[in-house]
Amino acid sequence: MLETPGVGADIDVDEEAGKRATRLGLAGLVWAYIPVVLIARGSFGYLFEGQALRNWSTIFVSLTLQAIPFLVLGTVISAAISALVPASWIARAVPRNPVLAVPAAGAAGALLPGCECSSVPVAGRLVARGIPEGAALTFLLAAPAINPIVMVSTAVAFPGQPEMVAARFLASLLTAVIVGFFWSGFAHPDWLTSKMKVHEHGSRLDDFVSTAASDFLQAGGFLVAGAGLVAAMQTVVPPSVFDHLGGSGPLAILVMAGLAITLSVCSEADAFVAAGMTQFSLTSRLVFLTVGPMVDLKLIALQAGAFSKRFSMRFTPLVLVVAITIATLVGTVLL
Amino acid sequence: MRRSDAGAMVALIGAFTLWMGLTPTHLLYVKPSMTRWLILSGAILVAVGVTVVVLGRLEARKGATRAADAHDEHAHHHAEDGHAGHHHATRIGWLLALPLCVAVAVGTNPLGSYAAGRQNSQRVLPPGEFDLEAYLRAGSFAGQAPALRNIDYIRASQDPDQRDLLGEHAVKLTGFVVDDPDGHGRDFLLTRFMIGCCAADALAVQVEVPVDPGEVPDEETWVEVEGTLDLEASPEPGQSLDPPVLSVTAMREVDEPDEYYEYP
Repeated sequence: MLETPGVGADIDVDEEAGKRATRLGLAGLVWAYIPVVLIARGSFGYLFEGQALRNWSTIFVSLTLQAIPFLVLGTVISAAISALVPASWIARAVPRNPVLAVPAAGAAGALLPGCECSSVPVAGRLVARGIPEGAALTFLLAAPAINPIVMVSTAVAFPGQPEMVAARFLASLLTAVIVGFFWSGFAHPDWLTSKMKVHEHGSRLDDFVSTAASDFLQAGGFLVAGAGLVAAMQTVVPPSVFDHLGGSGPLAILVMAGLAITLSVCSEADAFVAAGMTQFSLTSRLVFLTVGPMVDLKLIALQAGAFSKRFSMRFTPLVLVVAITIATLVGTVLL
Repeated sequence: MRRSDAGAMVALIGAFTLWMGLTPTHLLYVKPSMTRWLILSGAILVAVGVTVVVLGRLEARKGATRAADAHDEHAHHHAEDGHAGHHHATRIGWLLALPLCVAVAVGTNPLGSYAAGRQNSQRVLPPGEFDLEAYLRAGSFAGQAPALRNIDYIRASQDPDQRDLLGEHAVKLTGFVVDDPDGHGRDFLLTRFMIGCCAADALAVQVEVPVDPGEVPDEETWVEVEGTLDLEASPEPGQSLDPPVLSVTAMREVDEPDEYYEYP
């Protein structure tokens, strides 16, 4: 291990802060859950039946299992950036000017063929490597929403409605770029700290595997926490809650945004879920498809893991407001 | 988390993923196209985890030797690191053991009657095409009734052009038994789940099977039924996912299939 003592000390301090933020972030999620669970209290008896536990475990394990290959893809890319790409090369390759960097990052998002679980570790690593924050966040938001796999599955789920694919692409890219610009322009530098650790042990192989292992555990731990909550949500809240909701007004849009956050369906599959909800207008379903890959319980947990609670508290509401507004506008014009 | 713990943890998750991917167990959770990605990512995790542990051991030994040789304080410090800590991931990483613990404690279960009974009631057919006539013409079924997926059966029953064919030709359907809340013991719902990505987005696809009163099989028994479409009792053609009704001619218990779910 060839770290200088100074670097080692910095890491320790960061880690203490990180641990505290981790505990606080989880506590925050649990608190946010209490009102939701209280509302669902009528169904609480189900919790204690074996059937409910089995149902929870199936959804929980399947969410985790589904995410693991994407998480591995994300952490391998992240570790490769950290161990193999010199920081000086990144500094030269990426424009410092956000006017160029942000849209470029949005377009680069189209190249990562994964769902949201891959993009979080990659974005966390990019920030740790000194990419302008706005650009890294634009990448974080755009990658899971506009990559070719998601576009194809959207086209399959909405046959004969290519405007839905176009609207999803446009609304997601616009949201990602606007949030990126907004962050570049107004964010305080203290708000975002990457918790992705830098391992410099000497050999490239050691750097690579150490970084991959710690990124995987960091992101994966948060993912598991998010998956547990989502599975509990799906098990406890009776689906009949949604029977009487529908329509096309502002309420429908808010309901669909709320559903996107709580259901946390993977961006590859959410188009199929949205296609089935015909009681909602196309615009409100576009809101569902735009918000889902950017803000949901699983993602909030992942982002809090890669960055910090302070970051999540500002970033999540910002993205939510921009995504709902842009998707509503795009939907009104295109659909 | 210590370096050796972190490596062991990653290798453990890798082994879990590999085990899932190499056995049909993963089909209870994800779609079949994920198989190779599970195997690949499991293998990568095992390799990374083992390498982390081995390199850590080598380095610790090297550091200890150096410290003993030179009384070099710096090297000594790092030698202790190798044994006792230098945290490689925050404690949240331990949570990754939970899916494994749950799978062991609760068992590996597919979605069952509980999930089927909790579906949204306003449901529409997912997009997709099925040409029953071509299917009947193309296959040679050796005098047997042709087997159909539940989702294809419902698609054909909702299609005004194909519906009458189902009234004439007997077909075979396989699924598990779910009690019909409105059935009063005179029918059950033959159920399959259709999943787009993983079990978290499953949709129950059901066909109503009338039986003699009191003859409803136990819930979650797998059965194969043969019969024609009851044109009068089934829902009108449209886009609904409401269960069509089968006129049963034969029914037998079967084993749970490996490919547990249906896919779009």
